[in-house]
Amino acid sequence: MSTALSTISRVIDRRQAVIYPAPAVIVLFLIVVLPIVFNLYLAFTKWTVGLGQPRFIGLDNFIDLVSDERVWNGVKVMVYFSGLSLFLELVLGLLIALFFNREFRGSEVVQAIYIFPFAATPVAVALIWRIMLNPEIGVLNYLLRSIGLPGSLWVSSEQTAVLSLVLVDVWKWTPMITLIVLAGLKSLPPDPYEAARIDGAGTLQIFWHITLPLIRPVLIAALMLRSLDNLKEFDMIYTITQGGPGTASETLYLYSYMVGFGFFKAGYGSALMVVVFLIVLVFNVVMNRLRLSAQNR
Amino acid sequence: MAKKAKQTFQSVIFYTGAVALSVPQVFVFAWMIMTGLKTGSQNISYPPEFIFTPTLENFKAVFQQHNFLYYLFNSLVIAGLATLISLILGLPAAYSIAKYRQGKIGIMILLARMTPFVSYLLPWYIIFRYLKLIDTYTALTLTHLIITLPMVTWLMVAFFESVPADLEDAAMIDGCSRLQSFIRIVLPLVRNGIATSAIMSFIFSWNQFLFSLILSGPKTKTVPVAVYNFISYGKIDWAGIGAAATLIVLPVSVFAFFVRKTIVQGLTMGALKD
Amino acid sequence: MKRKVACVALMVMLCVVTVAGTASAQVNWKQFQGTEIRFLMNKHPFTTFIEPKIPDFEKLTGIKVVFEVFPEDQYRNKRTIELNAGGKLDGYMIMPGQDDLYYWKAGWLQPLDAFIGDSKLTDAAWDPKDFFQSFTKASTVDGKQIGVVINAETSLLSYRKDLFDQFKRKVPATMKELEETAKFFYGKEIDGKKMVGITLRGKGAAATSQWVDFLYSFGGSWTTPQGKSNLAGPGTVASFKFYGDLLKNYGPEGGSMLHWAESTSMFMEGKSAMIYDANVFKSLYENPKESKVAGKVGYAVIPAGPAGSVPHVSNWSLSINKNSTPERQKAAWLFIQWATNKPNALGALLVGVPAGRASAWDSAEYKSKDTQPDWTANTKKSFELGQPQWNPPVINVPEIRDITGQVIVDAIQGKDVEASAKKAAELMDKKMEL
Repeated sequence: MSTALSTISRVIDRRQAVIYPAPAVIVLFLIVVLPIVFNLYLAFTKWTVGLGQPRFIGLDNFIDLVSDERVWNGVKVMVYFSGLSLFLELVLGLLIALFFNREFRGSEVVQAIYIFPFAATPVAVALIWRIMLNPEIGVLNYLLRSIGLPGSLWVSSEQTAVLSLVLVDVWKWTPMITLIVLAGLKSLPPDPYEAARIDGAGTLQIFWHITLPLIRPVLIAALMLRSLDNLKEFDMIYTITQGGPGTASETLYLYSYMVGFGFFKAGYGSALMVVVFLIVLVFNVVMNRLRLSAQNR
Repeated sequence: MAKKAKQTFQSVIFYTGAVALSVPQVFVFAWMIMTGLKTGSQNISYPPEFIFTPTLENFKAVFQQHNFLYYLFNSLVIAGLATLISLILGLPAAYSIAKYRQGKIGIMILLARMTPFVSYLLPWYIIFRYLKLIDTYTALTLTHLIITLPMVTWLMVAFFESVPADLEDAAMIDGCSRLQSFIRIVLPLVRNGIATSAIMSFIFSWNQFLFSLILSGPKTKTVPVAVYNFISYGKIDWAGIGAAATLIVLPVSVFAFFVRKTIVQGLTMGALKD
Repeated sequence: MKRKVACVALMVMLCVVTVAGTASAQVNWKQFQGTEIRFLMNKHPFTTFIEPKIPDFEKLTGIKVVFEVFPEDQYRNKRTIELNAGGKLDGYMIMPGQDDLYYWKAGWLQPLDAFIGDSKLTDAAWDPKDFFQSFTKASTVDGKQIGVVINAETSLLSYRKDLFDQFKRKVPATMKELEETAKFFYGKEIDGKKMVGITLRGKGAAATSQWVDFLYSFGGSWTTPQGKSNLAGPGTVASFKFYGDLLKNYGPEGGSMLHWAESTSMFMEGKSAMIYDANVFKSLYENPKESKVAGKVGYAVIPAGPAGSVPHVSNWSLSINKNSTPERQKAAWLFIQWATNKPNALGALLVGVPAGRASAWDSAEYKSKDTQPDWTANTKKSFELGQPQWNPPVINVPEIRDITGQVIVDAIQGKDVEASAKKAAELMDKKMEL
């Protein structure tokens, strides 16, 4: 018995680099790579679910989507939503982290409050936001009106729909960014700060010339971490606006879901999903370059 | 004297700020709970009622009429299985990637994390058709693996990278096989990472909506999908949604609170050491 | 004396039982004992009504029914994907006007005529002629009946009769009067709330279900006789304009995001003088636990436009999956037959689900319990006037509804309706599949 085990052990040892990752690679291949390849194949076909078989049509879907107004609208909304929310989350996260970067009583409480939204189920919380954002009977407008401000149409108006979604996203994710940046700030070396204080530098100068450069890698890393999920935001937008009013908050991702699962046009929908993937890919490549260059400084 | 006054003043400013910065989070959660404690008609009244007599009937209804305990059970089983399998598969893989610098596998993992989830739905449904796996724990767990396995692996790579190679070498000189050194020496060193990735994996699987929506049936319906039960043809039960949302969000959030340090550390590690 | 009455009663009962026994003697309810069938259902008042009764059916037939209910938004997705994937699905709910062409072409609908005509499967008491013919017709494709109606829908103008009485307004009979009435109430402060004149659905594709009544009442149509899109036709454009203006000028803010949930909430909260939406919502409006206007609501047929009062009629039906096994199909037919029989139709009507059977509406029991006779009368009137083509006559209904919905949204937002309609017509011509 033990000789059999030790033989196996030796075999595993020798081929450690192959055997260790093998199960994960196989599983990932089956559940990730195969569907992606299949999706890619569908992108070159014309097929309505249930009606016949997929028919190969070459690049037609991609040609069509270039002239599809809704695609460009989808990209525009994606850039608007993600750009604004990521920017705000990063800036606010940093500022709030700086604010809390000190010893104080109740820091545990703050941590507790700030970890809640991270774990909260997006769909559930989004439904609650939907009630709160109602322009007629929602509590947000009530609060605004009670301090003399006019209520907003929130998600019921083309102009403010995306902004409202940004608000919800910022509410949900800024705390996480704050906690990450705070952890980063707490691990910064104290020496540069000592030196700067001795030199008599002001708070703003210290921030700009010392804190910011030192914390930059953390910021970029947090941004990359967050952007992976933010660009693929679905649950929240689906729950609150379904892409409306009209298509004002319809990201390309949401549109691809409509086409694939609302109209059941699997071919065209898959082509749209490929485009979403490419956008995410390009963004990540760019971000990675930025991060590497920041590290090399 | 003046200095003390200034300090107190600064203290007041700080604590006011701290409270102000915490209000948005607390408010939404409080509102969620309040929605569940009101009646249907109270929930659509304006001005919104902040003071009202709470009722527990919505919470009761969630358990009695909507079979909620069963959904909780399903979510638990699927998240648990997905996490467990991800750890079993992901730990050795991450170790290997870190040790042998297998960047190519790393790319596959990144690919998994970048692909929009909707892309998986149709291929998955067709595959499941042949395998006759709709509405099974197997199918759902497999699809949740798409989220949890890459996450566990990617997080753990960072942790494994921080294990010094000499420790392993020392162990092997002492006569351990690589396998033994992996299990007895390396793994305990990264147990923080294991905790983090397990927690993250569990939370993300628990919150997963889209896959469960399309691929589940009554036997495997999970908690996020169940929330939509309160929206029916001709009626939205806001009070029910409030109660259900509270029951869904609170357990995970409370759990996250208790493991918050682990979560933050894990996120930071993973973020920094990409 | 008592003994005599008891004897007579017993004799009557025996007679009834014998008669009933002979009538159903032809149908062996237990012929598929032990079969298990699976139904996919939309979360709908009818579903809520019938689900607790399923054990009765199971006892009667020995058939096990697996009943899966999904909320509306996700139901259609799930149903289509399952049918395509070929999973074990025997019966389901469908709105024929929305999906019958698509599902028929995909081969997912089992014709029911053979089952209905088979005396071994269908009890004479089921009485197919009792169903409103327009609904049976609506559930027919290529001459074959593919569904049995469970919920007969139309839209009604629901209004605050207490306010109409207070301000001595008469119920609008024409579109012009509708506009004037909405204008009258808009902005009035009543009970400390600022009123809106009317609330309607405005959310794109979802709004087309209500707007279509205006389409027909203004003389418009989905397609021209030549089969091309008529979205840019004069009657159609007039309906877009009227509908959009009504909501924009006299409706709640953010009209283009109103779905039935927001719309009905407004009305039930007491903030709108009128609402035009499905008749099935009566059970909501009149429920004091949910609605602040219970008991104060009047119901009328859609006011007349240039082409008359033409509401739409739609329905939910129960259908059978063509890809199921013959045995399970017949078992599913027994279920559908039971769920749509006269007692159940009446029972559903009594809880507010508009039944598709004339006998339910005409029954003494219903009439005695009917607290909203104007709802009853006007629902029936709408059934008669109703236009069953409430969706574009195409296979890809959701896509065309979506295109049409864009014009509605533009109209509500005050954009150039003619231009938007023209663009939509071109898009519809390009995309429609027949």
